[in-house]
Amino acid sequence: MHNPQHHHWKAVKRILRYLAGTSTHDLQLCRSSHLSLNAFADADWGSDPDDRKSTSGLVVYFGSNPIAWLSKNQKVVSHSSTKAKYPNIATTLAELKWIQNLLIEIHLPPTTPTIRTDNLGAVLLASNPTMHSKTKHFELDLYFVRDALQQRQLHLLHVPATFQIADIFTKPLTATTFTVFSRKLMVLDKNNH
Amino acid sequence: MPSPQISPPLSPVLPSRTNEPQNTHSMITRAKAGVFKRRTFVAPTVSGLPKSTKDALLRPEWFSAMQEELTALHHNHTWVLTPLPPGVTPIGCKWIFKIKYNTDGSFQRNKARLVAKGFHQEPGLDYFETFSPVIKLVTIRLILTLALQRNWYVNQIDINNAFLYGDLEESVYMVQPPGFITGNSNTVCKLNKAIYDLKQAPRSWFHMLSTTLCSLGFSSNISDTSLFIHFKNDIILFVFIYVDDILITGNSTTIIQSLITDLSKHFGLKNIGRLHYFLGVKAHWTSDGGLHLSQTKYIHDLLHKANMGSSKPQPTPMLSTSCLTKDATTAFDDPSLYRSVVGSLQYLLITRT
Repeated sequence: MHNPQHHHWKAVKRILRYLAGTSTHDLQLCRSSHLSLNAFADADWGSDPDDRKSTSGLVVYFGSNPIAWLSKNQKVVSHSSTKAKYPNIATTLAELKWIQNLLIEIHLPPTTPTIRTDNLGAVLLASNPTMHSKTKHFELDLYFVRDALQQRQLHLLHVPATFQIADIFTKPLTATTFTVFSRKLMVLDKNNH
Repeated sequence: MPSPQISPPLSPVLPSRTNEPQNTHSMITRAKAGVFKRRTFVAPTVSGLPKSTKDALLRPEWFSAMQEELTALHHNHTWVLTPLPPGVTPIGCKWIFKIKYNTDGSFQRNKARLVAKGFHQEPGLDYFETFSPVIKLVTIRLILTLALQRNWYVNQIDINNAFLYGDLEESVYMVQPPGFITGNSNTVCKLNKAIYDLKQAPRSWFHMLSTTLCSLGFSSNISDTSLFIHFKNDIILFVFIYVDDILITGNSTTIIQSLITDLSKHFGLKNIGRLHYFLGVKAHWTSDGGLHLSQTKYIHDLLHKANMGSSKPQPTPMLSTSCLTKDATTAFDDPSLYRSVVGSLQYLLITRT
């Protein structure tokens, strides 16, 4: 932000062109029969060309409506893609806990939230109490997630990459995939549905 | 004008229509009835905004707008006139002029607003805390989802001159409004209530509103302090506050209306009815009980600002081969446009991904 370059402006113009083509798209909230919390968490490993930090993406659904989403550079550099997903799962869990607190305060029955990630390693690591030297540097995040799993406050599931909606928040996608995912995020053309 | 060679019999109003097909439609138009009177459109004699306070004082329509604002402030007991205590520098104030239009674009009224020069204030002296919470967007979408599922009515109200309701805890001295000075040069206004552009104005307004809501049986939420909840005998009410825009929803439409009546005893407010435009987001209720949130107008304004109104549309926001580095290539020559556009893009995150 403090020193914008020409190619940054070009990227902004590209976003504006996208908006020009989709200005009639809106967020369509609909009636859901049951209100459960479902989250998708993804990270694009080492995607920042300046410092090789990873990009986190997450989306939280309440019933069938997306209510929270985020795309963010991670704070630390990670060694492997599993490690890159971990801080992100922990961030998602923190967001879910905040939403759950809100739900408790407004007297709604508690539900166990689900997080879906496309990294099998991350799922296995959270479910199995193995711990080795390789996980030492993200122990805090790992224990945070593992603790929630053991107390049955969370389901952590694997999802194939083609259904990983949070992908849209981590990296540029092809037009086809982008359209599919943005439909799933309930961003649709109001003139055409 | 040369006179025609064959002069037809004088029929001054109706032009000859023999060559045209006869219009047999049952609707009677002015032309069919032979009325060719020129229609007059009356435009208000708005000669633009005043150039200065001095200019405004000389123009009756603006002078009365200023008087109207002062009457409202006096009525509200916003200040008392006192001699300036020794050693105190009063903060300045100025008039802001604006022409208000109706939603269809026609002239509504001239508006003069007295604002404080908040930048004259000093921390620890005439203001302490300035933070004022606003509703989180996640909370709005969550409660709206809940309201949709339960088929609740979502009512929107708008508080008039919200910031003028806030009580001031600090002693703030302000010079008298330009053009309306009474007493000697040492007489200043000691403010009892907040006025616009005072640093603590949003905070004291929020405090005022939350105290009122608490006295009406609401309690503030811990997770989001701008969400107020009321539970009593199966009655649930939610109130969310974004400065002076307020949404009320809950399982009883009667109780919502009586809450609005209660609030209107404390504040001047406009009951907008069912939610349709909030935070620049247009809300459209569908027949199947859904709610569509759109920022189309905001997008068009943004494209206009960036001079991209007629640009070629693209299906995705980012090129899959793009590589954005910090490395200096060539600096963009208009950083403030860049920042302003990126800031606006972030605002679009309310409804867009």
